[in-house]
Amino acid sequence: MIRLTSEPILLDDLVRAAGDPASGALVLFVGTTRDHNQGRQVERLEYEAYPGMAEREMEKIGEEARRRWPLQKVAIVHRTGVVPVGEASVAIAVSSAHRADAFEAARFAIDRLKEVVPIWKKEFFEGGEVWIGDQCCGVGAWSDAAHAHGANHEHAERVSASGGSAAGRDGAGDAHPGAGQGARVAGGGVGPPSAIAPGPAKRD
Amino acid sequence: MKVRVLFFASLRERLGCSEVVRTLEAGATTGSLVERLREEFPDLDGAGRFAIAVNSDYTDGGQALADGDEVALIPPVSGGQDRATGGPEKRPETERR
Repeated sequence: MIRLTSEPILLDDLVRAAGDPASGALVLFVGTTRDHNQGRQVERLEYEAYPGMAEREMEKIGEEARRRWPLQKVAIVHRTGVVPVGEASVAIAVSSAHRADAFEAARFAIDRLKEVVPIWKKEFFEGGEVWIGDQCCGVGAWSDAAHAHGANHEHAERVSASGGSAAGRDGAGDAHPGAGQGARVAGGGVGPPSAIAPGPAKRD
Repeated sequence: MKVRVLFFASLRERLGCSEVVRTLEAGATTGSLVERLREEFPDLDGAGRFAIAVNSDYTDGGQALADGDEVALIPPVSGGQDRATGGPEKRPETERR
C-alpha cells in the first residue's frame, strides 16, 4: 500500500496492509504536525506533492527497504493539503519476522522519504509562513548533503511575513560556501550522503 | 518539440505560475531548458537550488529532451530541516549563479 491522500490517514489501514502471518513484528511510524518549530508557534502545515512522481519515489523506497532488510510488507501513506496540529501527515508500517529489521527499515523509509519524495511542507505560524526545507542559507540544503549546518555562518531564513516572496531576496546565498567548500567544512563532522541508514546485509 | 515544465512549492510561488509549455529546438537538454527559463523568469535566480525530473525520474542537466516530456523543477523537499542524513544518490541539482 503506497499512496497519497488528502483525507486524514487511517492508521488501521496501514496496520492491516502491512500485516502478514509470517511476521512477528510490525513497526508503525507516524509523523505528526508539531505545534512548535524553531521557536515559532505552528498553526498548521500544508503539504503539496508532485502526484505520480511522489508515489513512484515512495514505491522505490519500499522496494529498497525490502532489498536491504528481510521484510514481509511495507505500507506508506502521505497526506497532502492542510494537516492540523496533532494529526498525521505521514505513516509508514513495516512488518518482518523479527523486530530489529522492522525498526531499522521503518527508520530508513522515513529518512529516505524526507530526502527524495517530491512533497513539500509549508509551515503556517503566528505572523507568517515558510516553506520548510527551502530556507537554509538561501539554497536548498536537501541537495547539498555535505553542507555543515551552522558551521560557520548564520542561517537566514526566508520567512515571509506576508506570504509573498520578497523575503527570499536576502542575499543569504552569497554567504553560502560553494559545494566544494561545503564538503570541506563537512569533513569536520557531517557524514557523507552514504551515511544514511546503511542497514545490515541481508541475513542469510 | 514541445515540453511541459512544472514548478512546485516555493518555485511556483516565486515564479507565479505552476506550469508552462515551451517549444524547443531539436537537441535541447534539461540544461538548455533551464538556461532559457532563467532568461524568461529572472526570479529563478536567487530561488536556490532545485532538482530536475523528466517524466518523474530525477535527472541532471545533461539529459536530452524529447517531444512530450514533462520536466519538473523540484525545490528542496520537506525533509530539509529535519537533518536528512543524506541526499539523493543522484545529485541532480542545478546550482544558482
